[in-house]
Amino acid sequence: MKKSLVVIFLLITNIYLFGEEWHVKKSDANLVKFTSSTPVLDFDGITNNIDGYVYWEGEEIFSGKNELFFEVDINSIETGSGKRDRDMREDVLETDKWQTTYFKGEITSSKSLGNSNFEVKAIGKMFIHGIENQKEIIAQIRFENGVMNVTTDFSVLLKDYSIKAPSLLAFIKVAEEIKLHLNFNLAKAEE
Amino acid sequence: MKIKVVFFSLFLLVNFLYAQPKWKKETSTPEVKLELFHSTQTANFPTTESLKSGNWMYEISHRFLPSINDGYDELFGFDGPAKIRFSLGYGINDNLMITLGRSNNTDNLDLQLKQKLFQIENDYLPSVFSFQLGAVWNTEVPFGLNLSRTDSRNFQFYTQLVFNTMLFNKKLGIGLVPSYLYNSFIYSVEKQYSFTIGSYLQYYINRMWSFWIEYNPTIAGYRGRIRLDEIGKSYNTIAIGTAIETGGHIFNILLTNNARLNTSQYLVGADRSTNNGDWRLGFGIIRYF
Repeated sequence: MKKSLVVIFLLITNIYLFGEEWHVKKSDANLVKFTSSTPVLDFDGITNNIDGYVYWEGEEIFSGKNELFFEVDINSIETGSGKRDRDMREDVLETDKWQTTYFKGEITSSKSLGNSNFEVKAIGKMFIHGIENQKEIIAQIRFENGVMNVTTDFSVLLKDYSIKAPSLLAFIKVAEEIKLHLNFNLAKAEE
Repeated sequence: MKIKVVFFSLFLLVNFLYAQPKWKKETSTPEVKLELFHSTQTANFPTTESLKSGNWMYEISHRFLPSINDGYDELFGFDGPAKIRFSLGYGINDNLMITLGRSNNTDNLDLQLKQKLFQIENDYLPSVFSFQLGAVWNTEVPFGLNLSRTDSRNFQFYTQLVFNTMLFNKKLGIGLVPSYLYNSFIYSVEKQYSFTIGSYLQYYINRMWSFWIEYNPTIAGYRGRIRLDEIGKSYNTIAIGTAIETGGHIFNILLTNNARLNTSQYLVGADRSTNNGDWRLGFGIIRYF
């Protein structure tokens, strides 16, 4: 009897030792924006079609084992020009082969900024155009009214992902460095 | 011992069941519309492609009147004169676009509405159908003719059904454009009509370069002149050229026997016969915004 109680206690403890899992709130106005900036012409591409999760074990936020995964459907990106969107899909990113881009990694450090704000560093694999590269990303996280808001800015180099910079005008090409800005919300996953 | 094994198994099972994210991919795949030809029009015909909602398109086209046979003295036609068309297009929604164009040939104002009808997704024969309606106002009043600029005889109307498909892994585009033109010759006492079945092939070597050929035979109806200062009849149109695509621009460079640019004039036929070797140079630039 005593042994049974111990077993049950340990199992329950084991379950509750696990932390939390948060999923992207797809109904919110999420934003994934890239910017190509050249001396002659700037343009943005935006989508709200981001999905994924953050998961960690332990009672402390982002402590212990953790994992995060976010993916973006590239077909949904719009730059304001239908012709440019099509060229981007068909020639540049080849979305018939690789429809999504993703980042999968873990939070390696987090720093509380007070008022439920955190700055975290994540390291993982960034997948674009069929190529996976190691990537380090700094993000700001804010908890408010049961929502986790994530904001991050970083950039990628097209050549790191075997992407040939396409032409914007006759002799002007897209910038080699593409800046990305993400701002999206997550909600705690239901048990 | 047995209890320990059970406990350990349960511990592992619980770990396995709970120690991993429960997230499941929910991203819905947005519907990607069939996009076949790389532009909303070829040199002379509409394709089934449409402008995206809120997007603009600008076109400028020239057809030089001297023949390339005139040689260096006319710089193979580039010395001009030339028939010119300007047009501006706008995407009302993703499937409907409007274009207003003007040619210096009878000062022809051309208002077009193109609607994408439906698509057939098929690995071997992806197909899209559209139709185009056009209303035309010829605003030039020939010297000595007692005709008001707004006289109803100056107006023409046409309709075109457009079928496009792509073969060989989106390398070879095929287009068919049956067209009906009402009031083909605006100076005629009796109203004329022309019915043609246009066709075109475009082979895309790569994203930048392609070659194309167009043919527009008149099947029934009027195939005469379109201006009072012209003589003779019109001929089936042939045009052959190359398209260069770069950074939102499409450049067409072509040889043709037809210097008529606006649709209501082009559909009547070519002003020269290919039998005489009267090929003329032409070009067109389309810019998408």
